[in-house]
Order: sequence, then C-alpha cells, then structure tokens
Amino acid sequence: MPKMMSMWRRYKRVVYVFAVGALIIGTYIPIFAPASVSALSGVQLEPRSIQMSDASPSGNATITTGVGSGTNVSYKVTFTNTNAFNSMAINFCDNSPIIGDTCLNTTAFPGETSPGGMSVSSAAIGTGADAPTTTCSGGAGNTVGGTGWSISEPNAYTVYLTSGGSNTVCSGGTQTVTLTGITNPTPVESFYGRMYTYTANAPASATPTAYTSATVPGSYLDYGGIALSTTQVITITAKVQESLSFCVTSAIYSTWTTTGDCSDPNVASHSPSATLGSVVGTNVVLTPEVKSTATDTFQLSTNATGGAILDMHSSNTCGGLSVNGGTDSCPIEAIGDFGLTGGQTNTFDLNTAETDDAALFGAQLGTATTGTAVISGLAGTGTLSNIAPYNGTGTLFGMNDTAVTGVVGEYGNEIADTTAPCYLLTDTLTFGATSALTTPAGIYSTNISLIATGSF
Amino acid sequence: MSQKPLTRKIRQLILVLVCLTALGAILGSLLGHAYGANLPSRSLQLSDSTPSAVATYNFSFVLPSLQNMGSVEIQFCSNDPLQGDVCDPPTGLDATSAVLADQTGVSNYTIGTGSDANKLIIVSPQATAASDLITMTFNNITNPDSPGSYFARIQTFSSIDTSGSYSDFGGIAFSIESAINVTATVPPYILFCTGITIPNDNCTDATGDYIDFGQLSTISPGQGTSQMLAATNAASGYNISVYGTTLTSGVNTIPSIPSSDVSRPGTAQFGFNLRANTSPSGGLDPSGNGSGAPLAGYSTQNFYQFNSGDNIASYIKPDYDRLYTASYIVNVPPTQSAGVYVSTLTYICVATF
Repeated sequence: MPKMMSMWRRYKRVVYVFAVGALIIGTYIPIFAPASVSALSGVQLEPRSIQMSDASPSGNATITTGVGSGTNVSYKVTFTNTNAFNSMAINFCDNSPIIGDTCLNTTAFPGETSPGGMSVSSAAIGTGADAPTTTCSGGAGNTVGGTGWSISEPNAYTVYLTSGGSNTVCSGGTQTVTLTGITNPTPVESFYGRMYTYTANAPASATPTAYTSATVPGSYLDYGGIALSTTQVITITAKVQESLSFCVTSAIYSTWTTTGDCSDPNVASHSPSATLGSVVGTNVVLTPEVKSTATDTFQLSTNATGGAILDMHSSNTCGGLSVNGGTDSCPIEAIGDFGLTGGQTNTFDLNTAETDDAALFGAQLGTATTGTAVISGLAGTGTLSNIAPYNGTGTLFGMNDTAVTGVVGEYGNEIADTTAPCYLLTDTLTFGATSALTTPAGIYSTNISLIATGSF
Repeated sequence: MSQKPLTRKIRQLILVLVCLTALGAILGSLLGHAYGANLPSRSLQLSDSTPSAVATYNFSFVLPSLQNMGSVEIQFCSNDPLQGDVCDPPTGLDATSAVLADQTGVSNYTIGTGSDANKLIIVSPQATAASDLITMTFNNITNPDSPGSYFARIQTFSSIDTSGSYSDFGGIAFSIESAINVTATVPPYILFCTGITIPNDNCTDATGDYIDFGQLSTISPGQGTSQMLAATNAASGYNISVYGTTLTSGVNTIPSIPSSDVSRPGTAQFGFNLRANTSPSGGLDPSGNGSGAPLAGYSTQNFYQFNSGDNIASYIKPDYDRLYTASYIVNVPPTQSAGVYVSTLTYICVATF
C-alpha cells in the first residue's frame, strides 16, 4: 500500500495532464473532424412524431409511479418512410435534433446533466393496444417492431430496432411503433429525438459506414429530428370530507320545496313534534279506545362507506308516555311491554289495542324514498332498511323497550339502517297511541332522540 | 503503526451503526406507521343527539396495522373533519367534564393534560401494540347547542403524550338534531249513561227511558229493569247515586223501601237493587271489564231498597266500563188507591279526580 501511494505521488502530474488533454481532444474532435454522416439517397421521414404517455420529468420524490412520475413512459413513434429499410436507430439528445450535430447527454459531456435521468435502457416494443402498425400492405414483416423485429439499447439514449434480416419494411408506408418502459429526463426542458433508417439489418452493421453514435450515425437511408418536452406535472388535490346530514321535522317532504334537503327553510321552521289525539273543543286529546297517530319526516345523507344506523332513544326510562319523565311508570306503555307473543321485537295492532282497552305507545317507519335536490336537480340514492318492530304497516306499530338495547338503553334501539352511502334518503316515522278508559288524566310526553351514526 | 487499531475501531463503529440502523428499520417497519393512514371503520355513536344534552360519546375505530399506540387526540370541530385544517370549535360543546368510562381493545388509557372543551387527549402509561377494534366511551360531554352536522378528528400517536408526528388519522361526521317531542293529553274522563238497555256496553247504543209496570197486583210484584254504564279515569273512582220520588199518583203514593228488604206481595213497596234476583226472578249482576260494585242496600240478591240520594254503586279507583242493571219491584196492598202511579228517577255518577 505505501508503495502504491508513492507511485501515485510520482506520476499523478502526468496522469492529470494526460486526462486534461484527452478531455480537450474528446471535446473538439467531433467539431473539427469531417462528419461521418452519409445519407444513401435518403430523405426526411415526413411526417414524424413521438407522442409521450407522460410528459412529467422523472425523479419526482412524491410521485414515484404512474402518471406524473416520468417513469415507465411509452413513446409512440410515428413516421412515414420513403425507402424500404431493415433497421433503424433512435437516439435522444438534450441540445439539438439536427442530424450529425453534437448530441449532449450525460455520458458524452462530463458536467452536463441534461437530459440527466433519461433512460431507454429498459425500452421494449409495445404490445396489445400499443402493438406496431403500418399502412404497408404485403403481410407480416412489413411493420417496424412487428414480427421478426427486435429491440436493443446500446446505451441509455439510443434504441436499435432491427428486422432480423428478412422482414424489410416497405417503402412509402406510415409506421407506428411504441417504445415502452422509458424514463423521462429529470429537468423540465425540451429535448430531441433523432431517427435513422438503414438498409442493413442493424444500424451497427450499416455500410459503408456503421452507426456508432448520434454524431456518427453511419450510412442511413431516411432520417428526421423531433423535439419533445417534459413539463411540470399538475397535481390536482381534492378533499372529500366525511359528511353526515340528518334532520327531523314535522314538515312533510312535499313541502321542502326550496332545497329539498335538510337546509330547506321548512325543516328549520317545523321542529319535530308529534301531538297525539283528536280535537275536542279547543284541545287535542286522546279519546279512550281510539288510536291516534302523528308523523314526522326525517332525511339522511352520508358518504360513510359502511352506511349509517338510525337509533331511537326515549327520554322516558319506562319507554312509553309518561307525565313525569318516566321516572316511575308509563301509564301509556311501550308496545313492547304489552306481553307480545314473540317478545319485544313484534309489532302490535293498534286496532286490537282499541278493542282490548289498552293504553299503548308505538312507532312505525314508512317506506323510504329518495328525494331530489331542488337547486341542483340531483336525485337521491340509497336504500333504508326498516328494522322490527318498526317495520309494520297499517295499524301495526312497535316499541322495543328492552333494557340496554331497547329505546331505553344508553344508545337507544336501532330502527333502521343503510349499508352504503346514501343521499337524500327520506322517510317518515309515525307515532301511534291509544289510551284506556282508566288511563289517568294528564299530559303525557316523551322526548325521542333519533341518532344517526355513520360508519366511515 | 497506530493506524491499524484506529482503523479497526472505526470499522467496528461503522459496523455498530449499520446494525443499529438496520434494527431501527426493522422495528420501524414492524411497529411504526408512517404518517397517516386512514383509520378504517370509525364511527361515533351518541347516546343523545339533541342540542345541549349531556351525552355519552362512543368512539370506535380500527388501527390499520399493528402499531404502538401511546396516545390519541380527539378534536371536535364545526367546520370540517380534515386533518390539518383550522378547527372551529362547535358552539356549546363541552368536553371538559368528560369521563373515559369504558375502553375495549386497549386498557389503562386515561384522559390526559391538554384536554379542553373541544379536545380530548387520551394517554397511556406506555405505548402498547394494538391493531384490533378499539372503542372508547366518554360520559358527560355536552352536545353542541344547535342542530347540524359536526365533526370529530381522531389522531393516534406512538408517543404517550401526543408529541411527534401522528400515526393515523380519521375524520368522523355526526349530527345534532332536535328531539321529537311526543305529547298526548288525556283529559279527565267519565263515561256514564242510562237506558232501558245498553247493548254492547256502548253508550251510543243505549235505548229507552220508560218502564211500564202494568197493572199492579197484590199477589205478585210488578217488575222492571233499567241499565247504566259507568267508567272513569278518575284517580279515586266514581260514585253513583239515585234521586227521585217513590211512585206517586196525585196525593197517593206507594211507599219506597227505606231499608233493604225482600219482596213482600200485598204490602206497599217500591225499590230496586243491582243484582240478579231469584225472588222474584229478574235483573242481572254487574258486568263488564270494570270492577265497580253495588253498595249496601242495593247489593244483596232478592233484597231491595230505595231512598232518594242513596249511593248505589261505586269504585275507588279508575275503572273500566261497568254495566249495572237496576231491577225494580212494586208491591201494593188490596187497599192501594187506584190511579196511575209515576216516579222519575235520576242517576248521578260523580268521579273524584
């Protein structure tokens, strides 16, 4: 090791001088040397284009895959050739599309980083929808990149497409070949492509002069330069926040004519309430052995992926109607307390309650419908499933006042649910009651809290 | 000469650093979670969704991966559930008295310092791995004071004091809505009607108000019946009394039975009871869903009485419909003056509420 260090110190000046000389010679020789460019009676490929599937620069620290990443990009190369050919070369330069001009890239000029980051080393010929096409007639073998053709990459900026010898592309056809798996340059800039076609089966075998680089493309037939550009990706961000809109009102939905949703003025001006009974004199009172009903309307909209459940929680601990907050008993008791066959989850016919002179209180859900937003015209969506015992029809009502899970439980009793997001899902909740001949006089009440819970 | 040991030490130091870095990366991948996956299956269930109610808030969420969860921050906002946005505290919401009443999926978490009216900081003595369903139930949270949609933002942290970057985040929307006030008025109620017959225990079906005893006899009583139906929701029940005169024809009368007695043909008698009798045969016992009953003087089979103002039946509680049948008898002696004898009786039912 010390011996090597001694040798380095002795010869390093010579090495430096040699390196600088080589750099100068390497830089200027292409300029002053006779151009090794020889077109064999070729003409420009015209028209010609390269369409990129993603114009974003590569190296994006945030977007590393897909559109915006500048990686795995497809270049759709389209051109019309005048002469039949057996191979072609495409190379990409940072500075110029002019055939024979100096082609700047990271390997050619130390210190030059443009089009730094670009690489065609993993390029492949597209398949499926990206498969090569041609307007040539004459069958297989006439398409660039088609049957018998292959792709190779002599360096990170050059692609060879070779025919394999017997798959000559016809003259006068429009060719389309898609090169997939390309990584764009990292800067936002214009860069260029140069295309050449050859009689030889491979550009490197062209005669009399073989392709060796972008500045020495050898003896080509047709040619053309193309400009491309990377552009800054546009990142579009949209936030969709969790939403749950739920309202209850005594106004029927047909009167929600201003907005058709919970913001409708009729919703706010008609607090939810249900006064049961019929008008006697100037009062609304329950008549013994006669059922009375009152209806409220509610609407649910949510984007919760798991939908939402609707619970009903009674302020009366006895579950029915009481004159004192239900702290002792409910003379008009919850239907679920009425010794139903099958338990608390059964519905009960208020007609029977009339006949049996029972004082009962229950509720019944309507059939949910989807409303319409008046201003936008958007129609509602979703399905609400009514849950027993609130799913009765006609005079069948229910009120589950089981401890813990009934309307007297901490979170109330689940009366309906939707398993998916919904919009303007509208339904009615009808309360029904009967009083008995012996029901003590008084003003009976309960506060029903409808609780909508979304599962996001 | 001393460079070799120094180089070896540097190599050893580098080796240790590399190992520590690798270990950190492995632990990080196993236990750490970088910056904010959504908390799936998150929900907030309220025990009462009415404005200003003191309610129980039950939070539920699933951690998206196995991770050390040392603390959780729950923030209530009125504007949106989006992490990073300015949070407008809901007016009226107050979580300062919140109590963490229950927790599942985790344990030993408590409400920590830094909590305020619209923010709950839940901390643990140490970060514990968790990836299952987690629920936290808070009592004594006062709801916002106005109906509408509100939001909660949940952030989990690996630190035990919500310091550092959060691990996962989830927004929740919940709704405050006015309660449905259900009211029903039951008025003071009394059902009472009379008639010769009241079919189906229904006052609307009552018919008749006239009893014709026909030609009275000295060897057998004249008989007749009428009915009355009573019910009330009065807390102290009802009382039925009878008012009127005995059978009278001008200045002549057929005396009533002042105290309960059997039928005595050939003796001047006018009275009634509320029973099914056998001597003479006639009348009906009270019927119906109610529990009211005839009072003394009118309650014994085959014994009759009539005094104006007598209470004849009652019940001391609210009572369902009760059908009473008054069974009348009239006896006359051979000396009874001829004439058309008439009596008008009024039954009055008084309920005590």
